[in-house]
Amino acid sequence: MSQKRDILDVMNLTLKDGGTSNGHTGTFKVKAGLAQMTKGGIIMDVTTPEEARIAEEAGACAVMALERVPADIRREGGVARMTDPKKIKGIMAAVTIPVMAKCRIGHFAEGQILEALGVDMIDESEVLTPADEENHVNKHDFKVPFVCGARDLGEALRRISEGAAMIRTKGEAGTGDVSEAVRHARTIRKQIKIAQAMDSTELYLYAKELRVPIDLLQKTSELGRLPVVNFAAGGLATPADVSLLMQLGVDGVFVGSGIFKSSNPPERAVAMAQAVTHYKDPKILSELSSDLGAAMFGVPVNQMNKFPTYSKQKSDTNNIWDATLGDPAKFPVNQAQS
Amino acid sequence: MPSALPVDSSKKDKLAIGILEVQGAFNEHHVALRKAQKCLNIPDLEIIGVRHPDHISDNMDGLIIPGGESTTISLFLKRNKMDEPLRKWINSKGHVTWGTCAGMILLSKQTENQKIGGQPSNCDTDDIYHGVFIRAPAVVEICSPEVTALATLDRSGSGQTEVIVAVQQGNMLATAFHPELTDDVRWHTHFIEMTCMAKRNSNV
Repeated sequence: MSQKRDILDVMNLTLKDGGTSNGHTGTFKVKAGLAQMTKGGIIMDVTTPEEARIAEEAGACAVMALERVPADIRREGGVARMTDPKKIKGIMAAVTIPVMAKCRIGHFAEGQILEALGVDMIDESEVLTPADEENHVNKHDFKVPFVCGARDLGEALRRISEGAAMIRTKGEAGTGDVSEAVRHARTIRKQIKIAQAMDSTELYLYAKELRVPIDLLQKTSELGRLPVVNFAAGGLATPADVSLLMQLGVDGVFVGSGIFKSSNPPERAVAMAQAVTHYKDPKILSELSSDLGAAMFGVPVNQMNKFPTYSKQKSDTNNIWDATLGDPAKFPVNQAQS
Repeated sequence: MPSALPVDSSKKDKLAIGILEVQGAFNEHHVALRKAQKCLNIPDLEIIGVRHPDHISDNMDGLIIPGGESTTISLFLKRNKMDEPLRKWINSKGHVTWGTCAGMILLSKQTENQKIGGQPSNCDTDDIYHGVFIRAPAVVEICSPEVTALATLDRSGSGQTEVIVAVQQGNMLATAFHPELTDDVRWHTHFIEMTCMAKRNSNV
């Protein structure tokens, strides 16, 4: 009977809480929810309003406003920084879909500027030159959601504990070689399965091994997936690459240099956007892959030693919780005596 | 009012609800529907993932158009020649449709003033119902007497006029917020109920 009454409540629903003054903005639920709305979609790197319009018209569910695409950053070298705000504004004015922008790792001031600009999401990205070798941005301080790169479950859950609302594989951006993205997607998937095979006691040790908060690991093992949206990124260049990663269980894909470094960007953009929805249907994929012109030329990851690599950089060293591992010698003496 | 619950078990054909799986939060709707099914104690509920024009058929009794990017979803529908079959399906008798957020935009006849304000204007509200609004549309004007407003968001506290956030027109339901992102499945149970009722009426 109470069920019936509840349904009537819904029918007569009136929210009388003073609207936005009492509504909570920028809660984690809303930030992670915005990421959930991009699921099953493709997010494209663009550098001009024209490219942004091509991406929107092709069916991208968001665009990433960049100064240079990763392939150019890789080739030209130099310090890569946040995009010129004027450029980001131009791109935001050109499209109605969400616009994301990148800030350097640990560079919370760039994050604050991007938040003030009103971008829909910030990518704290290893593609730009890191600004802080040890710390990432405390993303709980922001109302705008963040997406962060990860190579394994440990990195992913540490970023989530810092407030990331979305995770993507790091891959090897700007190469056109999808192997690193596959490795990272598989690693995360495998480690979640390992966690699920453990009993509740063993999980504590695994949390220490991964250097992650136990509650996040418990949640992940219960869900059998990351507790936030997980995209693939880094080196995707064809509709088949999209299908491969989607079948490995990611929620959607980022494509950086793969589109605007190919010979026919508008057609390739459409084909890759369609591939995200049709990833399970090889027949449609074969049509989508036909006659797209040359894919980006690319650099195979194993022939890349003269280029800087993103995924081989030393792992982040921050220990975010260490409560049980503290050094007893450093305890205040009089406290230990009493 | 005769109760729609539980579903008449003497009827052999089971309830089938489609979810438009083009882009967006369709898995969340799937999970919420299963939860609602449990609440309502319906033994048989088929959930169909709609990704291809062939998937749109009279076997479906209800259809959910999930939240996502309205631009992306509508382009996909046009490109895959799904827009006309969908429109026909939605307008046929006995078919119940529910659009959340982007789905609401797709069901509406006209939109204006898209996209004002970025992320900070997204909000969580709670009181009678916990609604999650993300880059959400709002109903500015109802242009037809057949449309009834189901829910409004009172913004008098901030000096703004109230906005309509849920509407119904016949067998079409549209909400600006995202019930699929919360644990509260009352909107999903209501939708299943509507679908049951429409199915029974069209079978009589």
